[in-house]
Amino acid sequence: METRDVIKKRNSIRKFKEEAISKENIDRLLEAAECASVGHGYYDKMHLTVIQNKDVFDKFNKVIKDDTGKENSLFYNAPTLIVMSTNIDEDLLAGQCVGTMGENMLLTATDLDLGAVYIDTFLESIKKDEEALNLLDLPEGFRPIAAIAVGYMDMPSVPKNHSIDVNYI
Amino acid sequence: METFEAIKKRVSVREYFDKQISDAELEKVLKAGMQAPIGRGKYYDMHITVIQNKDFLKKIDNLTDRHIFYQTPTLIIVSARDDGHGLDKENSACVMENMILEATDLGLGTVYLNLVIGLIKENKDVLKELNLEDGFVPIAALGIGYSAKEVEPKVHEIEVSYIK
Repeated sequence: METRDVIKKRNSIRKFKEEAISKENIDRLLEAAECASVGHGYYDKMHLTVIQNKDVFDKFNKVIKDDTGKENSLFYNAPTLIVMSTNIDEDLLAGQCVGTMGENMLLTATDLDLGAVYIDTFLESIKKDEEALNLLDLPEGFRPIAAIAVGYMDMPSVPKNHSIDVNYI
Repeated sequence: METFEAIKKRVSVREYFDKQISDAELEKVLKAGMQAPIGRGKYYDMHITVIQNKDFLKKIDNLTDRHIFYQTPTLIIVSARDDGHGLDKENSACVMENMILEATDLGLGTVYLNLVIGLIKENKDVLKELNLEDGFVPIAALGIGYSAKEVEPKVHEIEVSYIK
């Protein structure tokens, strides 16, 4: 699909079918992430974790419930999560490197007719629980920043037009 | 251009022609930026500043003795207001990536800039001229123009682990 159409079509999908996406689709999403703009070329300071394990999801949901009291899964019970982590100390740069990888994956998911949503709230609970955090098995010094939940859509995709204030100098 | 082609073609361009991009191109780039995902739908916590005034660009360029934005004819600053969840950086980056991919699709050159933001924040005079609303802080900067040099896309690798 044309870049412009995909950019317009992308919207947050929060309801997924149980069926997991294919290995080919995952590879495509990961390849898109690797093409993102990463400051100072710090690609070796980024890490991606693909999670498709029900036990891990159950544990996450329990930790989230214990922490927030919320019954609903904060990752919308997506069959695949791609967690983005980094060992870049400076938050300003770390957040931006994760953001560009995330957006590349969201656009690619849209292009592949998959549903996806950018999420970070659930990680607040995971980071507080050592056992849950250890399940990510991240390399020493890395911390999770955000994730993409992705799967086959089980709700309509309704693109919206957004606006951001602009001034010209 | 196909989306995946634009994603793969995106490169950082550091040499530009001294020729301004058209208003139509600028408009398309900005529109793409506005369609980025913004946490909790807080588009009102984002702001875009387009700088094309040569004197002001020179003033920013003079903040240090290095050419911090490679003399692009247009500099776009993405600013954000942090709502306490620290999403300002990721939100700004999503706006940036959309603008970069749209520009790539249009055949324009871009460069994602980091250093320029720190310098602008340190220089109260320049920061004031951005005329940002209270609470807004510059997060990311994009240089954009016509590439004066062909840049081959590089293959990058990020470590991936699987939990199945």
